Amino acid sequence: MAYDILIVDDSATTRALIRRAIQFGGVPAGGLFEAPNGRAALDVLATQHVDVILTDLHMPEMDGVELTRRVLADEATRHIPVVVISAEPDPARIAALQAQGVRGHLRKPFRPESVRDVITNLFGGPHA
Amino acid sequence: MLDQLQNYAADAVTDTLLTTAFIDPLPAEASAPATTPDRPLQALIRFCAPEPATLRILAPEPFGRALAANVLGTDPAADDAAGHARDALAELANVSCGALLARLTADGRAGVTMSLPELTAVEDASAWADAVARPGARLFDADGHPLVVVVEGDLR
Repeated sequence: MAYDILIVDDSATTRALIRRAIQFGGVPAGGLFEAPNGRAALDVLATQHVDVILTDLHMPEMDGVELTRRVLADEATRHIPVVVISAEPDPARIAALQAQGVRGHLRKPFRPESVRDVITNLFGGPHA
Repeated sequence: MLDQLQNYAADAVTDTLLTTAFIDPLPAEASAPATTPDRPLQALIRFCAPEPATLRILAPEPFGRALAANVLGTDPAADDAAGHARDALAELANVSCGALLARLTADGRAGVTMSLPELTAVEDASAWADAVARPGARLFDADGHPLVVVVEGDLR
């Protein structure tokens, strides 16, 4: 199965890094979509099929906390797993997001193979 | 406290460069003539821990290109690297500040917050020397490019 993945980060460099990590990390990716903030991510979700959302937290216009809140509140999108990839330093804030339904967390700076691992674990391991 | 903050900031920048770009910055001599770039870029990020402070990273534009090239797996001369140079430097400040604040949180500081990074081209010719001369500023040689890391604030 190939996964349609939405990458949300205000840094174009980080979006490209995550895209490369997915493409070269052996993740079975179908569509790879990008958005520079939460608002643009919601636009993508309104028109595209997405299996997993990888989102930063600190972004202009709409941050990752608000994006996550809206995704989890919407019946049409609440089934999509959300993984936070962020420089957020406060573990309490990450724990609060996980309590609300965030399914994974990767702290920046990350090694490219960590992106593969977090997606693989999300869908039940490499042999699922 | 400022010394400890500078150590944390220097460690955070070093670790971020190593992890994301395989660049190993080495401490450099502030007096070396080759370390004064023309019109450097400055990435600035404000944070609270909980007192307000700032982290600044100054480097020439070619360093931003080299950083982006390493992250993207391309050549520094490629258009892609040039297009990402400023963004890569801003993201370096963002990720480094997060790592710095994670250290402070582990030390027991609560209520840490950080702003989005601001990137500017520094027009003032004396700005580089001013940054290097700040108390506790750290100068690095990053793959042949000069890099200054400065933390300013009054954390107690």
